[in-house]
Amino acid sequence: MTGFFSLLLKPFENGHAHAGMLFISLLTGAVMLFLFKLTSNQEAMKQVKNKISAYFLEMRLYKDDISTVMASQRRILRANMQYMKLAVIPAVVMIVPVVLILIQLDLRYSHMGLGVGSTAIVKAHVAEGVDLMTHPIHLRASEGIEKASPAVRIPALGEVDWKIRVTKPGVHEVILADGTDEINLPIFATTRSIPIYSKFAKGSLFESIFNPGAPRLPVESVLSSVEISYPEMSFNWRVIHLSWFWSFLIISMAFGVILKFVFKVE
Amino acid sequence: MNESHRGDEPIKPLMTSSWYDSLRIRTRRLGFWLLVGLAVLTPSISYAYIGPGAGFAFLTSFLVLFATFFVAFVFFVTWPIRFLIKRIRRRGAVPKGKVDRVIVVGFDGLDPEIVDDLRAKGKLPNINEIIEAGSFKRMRSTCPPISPVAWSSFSTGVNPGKHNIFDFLAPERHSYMSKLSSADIRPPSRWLSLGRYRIPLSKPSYRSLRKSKPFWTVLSEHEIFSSVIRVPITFPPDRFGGVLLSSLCVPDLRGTQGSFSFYTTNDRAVNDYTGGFAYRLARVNGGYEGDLIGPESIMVKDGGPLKLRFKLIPNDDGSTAKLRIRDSVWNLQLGKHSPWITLEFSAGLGVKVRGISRFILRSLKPDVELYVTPINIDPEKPAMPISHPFSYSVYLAKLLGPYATLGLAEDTWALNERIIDEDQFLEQAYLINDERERMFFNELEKVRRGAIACVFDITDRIQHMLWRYIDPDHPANRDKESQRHRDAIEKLYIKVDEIVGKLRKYIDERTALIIMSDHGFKGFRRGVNLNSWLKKEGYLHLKEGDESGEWFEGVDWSRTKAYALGLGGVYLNLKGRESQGIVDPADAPNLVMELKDLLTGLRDDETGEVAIKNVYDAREVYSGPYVAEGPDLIIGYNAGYRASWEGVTGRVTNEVFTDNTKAWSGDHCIDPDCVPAVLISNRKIISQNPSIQDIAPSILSLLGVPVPRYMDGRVVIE
Repeated sequence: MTGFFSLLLKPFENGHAHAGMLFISLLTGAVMLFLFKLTSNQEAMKQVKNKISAYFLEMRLYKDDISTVMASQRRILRANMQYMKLAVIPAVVMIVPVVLILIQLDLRYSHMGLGVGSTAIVKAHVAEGVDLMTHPIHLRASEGIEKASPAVRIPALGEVDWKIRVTKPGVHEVILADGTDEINLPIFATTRSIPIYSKFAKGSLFESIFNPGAPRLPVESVLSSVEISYPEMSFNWRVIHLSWFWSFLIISMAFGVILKFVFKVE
Repeated sequence: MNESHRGDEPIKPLMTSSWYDSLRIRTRRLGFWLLVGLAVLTPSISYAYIGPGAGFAFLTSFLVLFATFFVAFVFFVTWPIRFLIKRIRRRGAVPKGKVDRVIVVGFDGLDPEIVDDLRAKGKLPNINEIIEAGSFKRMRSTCPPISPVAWSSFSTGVNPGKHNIFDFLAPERHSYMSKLSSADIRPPSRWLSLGRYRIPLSKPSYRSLRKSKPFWTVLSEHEIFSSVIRVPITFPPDRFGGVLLSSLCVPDLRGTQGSFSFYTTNDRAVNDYTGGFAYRLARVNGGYEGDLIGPESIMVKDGGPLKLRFKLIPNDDGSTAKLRIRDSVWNLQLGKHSPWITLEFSAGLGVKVRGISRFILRSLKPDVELYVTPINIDPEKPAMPISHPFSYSVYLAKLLGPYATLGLAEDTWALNERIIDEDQFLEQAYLINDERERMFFNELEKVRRGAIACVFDITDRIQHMLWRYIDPDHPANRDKESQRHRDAIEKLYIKVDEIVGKLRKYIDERTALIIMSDHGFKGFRRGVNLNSWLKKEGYLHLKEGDESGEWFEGVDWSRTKAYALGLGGVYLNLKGRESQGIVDPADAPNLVMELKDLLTGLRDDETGEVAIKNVYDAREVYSGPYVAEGPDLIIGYNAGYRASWEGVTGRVTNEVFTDNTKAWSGDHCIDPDCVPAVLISNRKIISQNPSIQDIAPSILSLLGVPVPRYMDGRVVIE
């Protein structure tokens, strides 16, 4: 899935995050609308929507009769429930592809790579029962990165922290030694819109789904997870700064509204 | 302690007795369960988004909920203000009526003789019970007893001299052509020219030619709501405090009073038809193609009519075919009506004009034949105002589905021309009637105070078209099957009784019910061409030959003293009124007397029967400011006779009397004495001789509104 998305967004990798977001939103809008049309009862939806419109008109047409207006409101609520009921099946069907898309977008657009000279914190969480003060946990940096501070051990949080600084652009590595294993983890010092892994954990189904493609920590390692604090990314749409999620939601909905008429979807 | 809580305020306990806290707890619980739902469905709150489509669905639902509560809030907040405004406008208290609600159910052409006959046979139990608890009278119709005239008198309470409707057609005095008597429709007057396109800068004009004030307008002036459904001569719709769906004279999308289309692969069947057009179906790969013809293109200069291509693809079963229009496909069944199909014509510059039609696949072998009803204005997106308020037709369409909007919705001409048969005509009439019933009963649910008036046309149309089945010697039975539908009219009256039966649950002590018709019915066996008679008697002359074309083509007006147009009127060729008038206004009364004497008692030599029972001088039977707009003489034909088909459209032929061999075999455009109407009420009718113009004053009186002095009618229902 990550490979597929990388291929899909390849043309937008080099500094074209906005274009990539527009493209993926358009594609999602089109595919999801098509899926929605396929999986929903369009005729029933049209009828219910018509009924709801009619009841709203009814409240205006018979506005001087309280009981008619109240009855119209009751009917609107009832029809609205029917409408939501009709939307449940397509929603359930679509939730899987949409979640997969969101995960991929989260990987690419939630964080920026580190700039040259900037620092980040590497946080290594250890498993319960490990004596943090005595256990040998070390960090080495590859070329392009340097350690900007010694390890800070915080037993109360079960956490060892290092500050690192970027000295060269590119995709570099930090090597974490936990006494038995050495774990290589990527550090992204790039402006390209590629998957940026900010969290690493041991292999599990949850991790495979929600953090796909990220290197896994060895099962026997005393480290339970490692986090790297990349700066958060936001999209500047000239008039407003939005996170990737809101950008995607608004743009895909906008494309959906336009394509709705093209695909004739209720 | 909650971090968000300010330390200096005590935390309120969760359980309190106040309704506010109870509501808060419930909201919290609801919020909790919503969150649980989201958490179950999605691993992270940001993943709750489910994309466009379902996203829209849920977003729309929340918007609907929000809008509902907002509207409810606005409604209740503004209620006292609106109530006050109403009181001020009304200048006093609500009129104290004898009833809260008056329900008028009109059955066009319901005949009292047939009602009596079927009542005696016990076939109208519901009507019978209403009559037994209330009253039943024969009611005098208008002169002439024609629907547009009679229903105009019903709604206004005045005679035709005051409401200006004398027939379906009225003469153009300057050209001797005819025009629609009730509505004047004109295109926009100002245009912006853009190359081959032109953009209207003004609105088209729709003007009602019916004068005086209908009772619903009078009620509205007293802040009483009315719901008016398909009462004839309500196009263009009146503006008043209520809802109205127009009827008679609403045109089809082509601007005619109803033109069917007939598509065939048989070249010999592509003829001229009255009331419709025939087109050839072109054979194309795997099927047949044709163009549906819409309105004239007004956005494109000299663009001709708008067209919509369709394809008909016969299926292998030999009894069905697929109809493809653009991307949509319908399955047509041999001999059966399709559902309403929306037809969208592109007028240019992105403008669309929408209509609806039903299709009947008539035949697949040896020729492919397809009938298309007149293209009705789509009530959901009307091309012109067909209701008041404009949104009312939209409301009905969204609530009940598409419905016929054409004034004369049942396609009588298609049956006359044998493009459809009696079975198909009946199917069409009952489909339209079902739509009407749904509208009517919806109004009964919604309007609890005020007036509801609904007219059902099915009674008129079926009696017009199937009368020959109850008249074995009718000339229209020649060369036609005459047994199959012998009980069609009886079934029709039983259907009327069923509607009345369903209606009874809405009647209580505070509801007045009026069941009425505008005229009765008789057979139409022989046609009388008055123009031919006028020529024979030397009152009308042709420039050459013995026969004229339609609309007096070839008439020598310099020697013509009188002419007949429409179903019941004779007009003098009056100097100063008609463009080529020769009759001096001073001689007019004598000429009227002369014609009246000659025509009264006119005999049909072939049958020996009296064809014309009475002739009425318009100045004697009408009063009011519009008398001069009407005919000078009104012909009261005897039962069995009527103006001939040729005479109605201003044709002069050699024969005065002709057999009527068309399916249109029953009629009522005769002497009003021969076709009294029906008046039934659950209340007491206090007059022995009620007239149709008494209904409006009676409705006003029942609802406690003073009867305006200009009304000719009296209060006849207690």
